[in-house]
This record gives sequence, structure tokens and C-alpha cells, in this order.
Amino acid sequence: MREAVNALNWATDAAFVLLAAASIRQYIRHPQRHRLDIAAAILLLTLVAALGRLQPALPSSWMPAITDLEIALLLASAYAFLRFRADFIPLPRPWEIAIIATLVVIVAYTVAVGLSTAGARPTPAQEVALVLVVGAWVACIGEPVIRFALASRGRPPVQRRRLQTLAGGYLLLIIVLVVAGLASSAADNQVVSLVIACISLLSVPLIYAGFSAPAWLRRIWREAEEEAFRHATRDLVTYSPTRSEMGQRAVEWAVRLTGGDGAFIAEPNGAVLAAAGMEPTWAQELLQQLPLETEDPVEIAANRTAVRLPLPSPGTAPASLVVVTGPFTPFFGTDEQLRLRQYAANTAAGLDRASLTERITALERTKTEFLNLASHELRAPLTVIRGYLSMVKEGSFGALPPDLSEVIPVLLDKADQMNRLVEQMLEASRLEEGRLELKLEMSDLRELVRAAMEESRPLSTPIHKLQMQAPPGEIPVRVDRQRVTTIVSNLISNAIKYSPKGGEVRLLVDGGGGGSALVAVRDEGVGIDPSDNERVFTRFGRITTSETRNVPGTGLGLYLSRELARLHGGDLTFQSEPGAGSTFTLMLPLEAS
Amino acid sequence: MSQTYVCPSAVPEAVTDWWSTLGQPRRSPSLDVLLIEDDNDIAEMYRRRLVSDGLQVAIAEDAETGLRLLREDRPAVLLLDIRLPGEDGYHVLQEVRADPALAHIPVLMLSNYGEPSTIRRALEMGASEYLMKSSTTPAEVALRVRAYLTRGSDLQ
Repeated sequence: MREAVNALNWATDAAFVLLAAASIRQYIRHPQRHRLDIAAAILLLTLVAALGRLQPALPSSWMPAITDLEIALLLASAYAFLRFRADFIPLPRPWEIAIIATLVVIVAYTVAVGLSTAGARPTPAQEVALVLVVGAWVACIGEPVIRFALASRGRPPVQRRRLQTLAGGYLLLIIVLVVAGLASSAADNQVVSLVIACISLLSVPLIYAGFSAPAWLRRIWREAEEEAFRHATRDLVTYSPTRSEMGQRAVEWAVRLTGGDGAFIAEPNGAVLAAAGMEPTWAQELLQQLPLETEDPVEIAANRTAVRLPLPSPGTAPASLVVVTGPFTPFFGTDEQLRLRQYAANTAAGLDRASLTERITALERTKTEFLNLASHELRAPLTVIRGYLSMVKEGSFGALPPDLSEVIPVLLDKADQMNRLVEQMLEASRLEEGRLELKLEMSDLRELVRAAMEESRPLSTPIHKLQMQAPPGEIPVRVDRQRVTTIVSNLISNAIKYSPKGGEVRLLVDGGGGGSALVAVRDEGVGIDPSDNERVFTRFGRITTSETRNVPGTGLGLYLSRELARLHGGDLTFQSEPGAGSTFTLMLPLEAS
Repeated sequence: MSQTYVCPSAVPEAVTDWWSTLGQPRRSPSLDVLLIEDDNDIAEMYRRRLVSDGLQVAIAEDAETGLRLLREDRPAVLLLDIRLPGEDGYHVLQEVRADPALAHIPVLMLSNYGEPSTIRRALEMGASEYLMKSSTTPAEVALRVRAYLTRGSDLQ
């Protein structure tokens, strides 16, 4: 048992030496005040342990002086730890002076009394001194432990675990000191000694993890959030309606990801797009201080650093993502920086997509507004032109000279044509806004095709032969009659327009094919070059050849026809052979009659 | 209406008829159509066509004037645009349908708004018919007006 305790005590002391070395190394690598303070606290504590180890080897006449030195070092270590805490949560100056004075008085009193008992029972004065030393130490360590434990709540996982671990490590040391110091009789008990040795050994890794958590441990701490983070990143990149919304989510996650205190995204012109955990005004000031890209975190204030990463966007200057460390996570490890870099790349892609979406949305809206306004404004003058032309034609202004009576119908026809184009533009904008409502009614498809033929007849010239072929029975469909008629008459008028040399336009109506009703419109016109296949149904995708360059149209007809067919649950397809003609086939769901 | 209360049934019908017109603006027997339309060219075009059919036509350029003329002259048919300066055509339609003295007047909406929701709203509010200006010729408008005028005289 005694050997075990002894071995554990040796291990603890060795661990403290290593811990002190690690903390000093940290300070040398990143010379910052708080690192100096924590290194001092650990080093002083290690020295106390080392002196205790050396005691038996030293002359016994040195004992009182060694004990006094131990007390002084112990309280100095407590003060260093309090300084470490003050680096994050400022300690008022008068308080600090009072604490130093108290500690000095306690050391002076202890020296005057002399704690070295050399095996004798301690005098009451010595007991008071002992209580004062342990009390002061517990107070100086205990207050920060509670502070850190409290501050850990509600922080990102890495920060939280770190603060909790550091607080836990020091709490163990308090327990060791209180038990060993105040209950010195208990220390004689072998079991108690063993437990104390175990606890003090355990405190070492905790303290180490607290002030310098290795990357693997940080990763484990973060794991709980990892899954949520992956989801968030995917959402971030693929779905965020606007740049500012996307930016806001991105900064919030940047803070959680790194355990930082705040983050913001600045546009290339310096405007703050989004900020989390910090005021936009401060963000703007900070931006001035930072270089365009930081290789390592830059110190921006006592114990605070910031990282600035570019968010590259093709064709423009990059925006920046800045993450600021918090008072409780005063630095970013390479792991955080690496992750931050990957994250910045994702964010940049997401922002790019969001601004593209924004631009497209704005463009679409402007276009729709324009179409609506244009359609309405175009209709007003058309009303007058068509109106008066129709009155002239019907003789409201007297009999017409023969030439004029030939010209007026042409004018009227053109006005009608223009009216149809306006209607098409309006229909397209309704479609894009999702405002198009179908008025579904049971109908006989043959009837609708006949109506469409009647509508298009004025377009056909003597060289065109319109023919319809339909089965004798009814073809029941549930459709918007007006719109289906428009689709078919549009197909007929296209067939005529793209057959400049004339020929036959055949309409084949069929209700037999596997749940679909069909209307095929076949012409013997110019046909469609295979290279144009993809443009046939696109908006404004007009196809012109030398023969049909003067064919009027908006390029909306086929686009609208197919969209309307699809809204009905059908489709519009075509087959074509250049020079031999095209067949457009409208398919609509067949209703049970 | 108050006439049944004021006039005992013993009073001859001719008297009650006369009595009921008291205190109300007299219907000008000559006004067939009131057109509320702010586009002068369009209004003038319809006026010409309707006048050539021998009808009496008045034009109002906004809702306020229109409502005043409606109450003063009691046209047989109202042609009503929706987009007007100030109060719109819906407002006029609502006033007409809410006023017992005017509620019987057939109202033909004559607008270039073609959205289905717009048309539905007008019909639900009591419009007799909805015509798209750009796809209706003046002759067609005159035909519709005639139909309402004939129907009106049939009822009389």
C-alpha cells in the first residue's frame, strides 16, 4: 500500500513537471499574458511539490526556511491562477491590491509563526496559520473555478468542455489540499493517502486538457454537433433564399464551429453583410485592422485574436469571413483553422449561389411586372384601333371605296394578331407566377379541335389544305376548353406559317391510345433542323430559316402550349424532318366516359 | 320601400306610382347608357357607335361623377371600367348594387384587366357581364346593350 501511494506520488510529481513544461512551451510559442499566468501557476505548484520531494535530502536545519518557501510558492501559484482568471474576467484594481496584501500578510504571519513542527503537535498559532494558507489558496483557486464553471454554460461545445475541464482539474486540487492540509491526521491513513494521490494525479490531465486541449479531444467534444453541422452546411449551400439570410446562418455556424465569440461576413466594399455575437459597428472597425487574409490568428486586443478568410467569388473581389476568439477560448488551434478554411470555401459557394438566385429572382420579377404592365397598356390603344377599324369595316363611317374595303380587313387582322400576342405574353407571365388557373370541364376533344380549325381558318390561304380525321365516337377529356382550343389553333397556325409553299395540314384526333387522347398536327412544311430541337419549346426560342424569316410570332406559342398541356397532365411532343414537314402531337389524359 | 306604408291600398295605383317618385330624382326617360371610362378615346369610340344606333349616351370620367350621373339620370344600362382615377369600378358596382333605386340597372363591366380573379370578383359583386375591351368590338358592345334594353322594356 505504502509503495503504491509512493509510486502514485512520484507519478503525480512527474506529471506536474511535464504539465509545467507543456504550459511553458505553450507560452513560448504564443507569448500571451494569460499563457504566462497559467504557466506560472502550474510551475509554482510544481516547485512546491519538488521542494517537498527534496526535503528529506536536505539538512534538517533548512527545514523551517524550506517550509516558508513552500508556503510562499503555494500562495504565489494561487495568485497566478487568479491572474489567469483576471485575464478573461477583469479584476478591479483595488481588489487585486487587497488580495496581494492579504496574501503577503498571511505569508509573513506564517513565516513568523513557523509551520515546521518537526513531528510535534502544532501549536494553536501554527494551526491558525495553516487554516489561513489553505483558506487563501482555496479562495484564490475556488473563485475562478466557480466562474469558469458558470461561464461554460450556453457556450459552444469546445469552449464549454474546456472551461469545465479546467474548472474540474482545479477543483480536484482544492479537494487534495483541503483534505491533506486540514486533516493531516487523516493523511496518515493509507487508504486516504491513496485516494488523495489518485485525485491529484487525475487533476493533471484535466488541467492540461483545459488549457491546451489536443486536437483529437476537441474533435470528440465537437462530435455531438458534427451531424447538425453537416446538415447545416448542406442547407447553407443549397438553400438560402437571399445573400443576407445565408450570411447570417453562416456566421452563426462559424461561431459554433470554432467555439469563437463572434463572427461576421463583410462584403468586398466593407459593408457588414451579417454578424453574430458582435456589433456590426465593431465588426467594421475590426475589418480596418485586419489584413485581407490572415495566415495565423491576429491579436486584436488583449487575449483576443481574429482570423480573416477570403470568400472568393468569380469575377468580383472576395468578401471576407472574420471569426473572433472569445475570452474563454483565447486561441484557435490548427484544427479549427483548417475546418474554418473548409467552411469558408463552402460559405463562398453558398453565397455565390444565393446572390445568383437573388439576381435571377429580381430579374424574373421585373420581367413579369413588365409583361403585366405592357399587356395592359398595349391593350388600351389596341382597343381603339381594333374598335374603329371594325366600325369602319361595318360602314359606320359611310361606304368604303373598293381599295379601302380590301385594306381594312388586313389591318383588322393585324390588330387581332397583336391582341393575341399580348394575350400570350400575359399567359406566360401568369404561368411563371403560378397564377394560371385551369377551368376544367368535361368536353369532347373532337369539338375543341373543330373550334380550333374554325379559329385558324382565316389564316389559311388557297394553297393550304386543312383536313381533320377523327373517330366517330366522342373523345371525353376534362380540360380547360378555351386553352386546349388555343393550343390546337396555335399548332395549326404554326403548321400554316411554316409551310410557305403550301400543302396539306392534317389533324389526326384519336382517343384510343392507353389512357391518352391525342391530337396530331402534321404539315408538309420546312421542318425543323435537328440542331434546333432543343430550342423549339423554350421561351422566345423562335426558329427561323431563310424561308420563314418573316413569319410573325413572339416565340411564346409553343412554350405556352407545352406548359399548358403539362398543366393538364398531358404533354406536347414533335417529330420533324427538315424539308419534309413536322408533326406536333398533343397528348391529354383520357376521361372515362 | 316606404310607399306601402305611406299609401293605403285604397289609393289608386296611379297615385301611388306618382307618390313613390316624389322625393327621388326623376329618371330622365332619355338616357339609355351611362359609360364610366377614363380613357377619352375609348369612351368616345363607344359613344359614337351607340349613338349611331340611336341611343342616348352619357360619359363620366371617374367614379364620383359616374355615381352622381347614375343617381340623377338613372340610365337603363351602365358600362363600367375597373381602372379609374380615384375610386375604382368595384366601388361604383358596390354602390349601385347597394342602392335600392339603382340596384336593378344592368352593369356591363368593360375592362382590359383579364385576370380570372378580377373577372370572378366583378361577377360575384353583381356585374351582369364582363367584357374584355381589347377583344370586344363596339358593334358587339352595342349588341349587348340592345339586349339589355329590350329585356328592360319587356319587363315593363
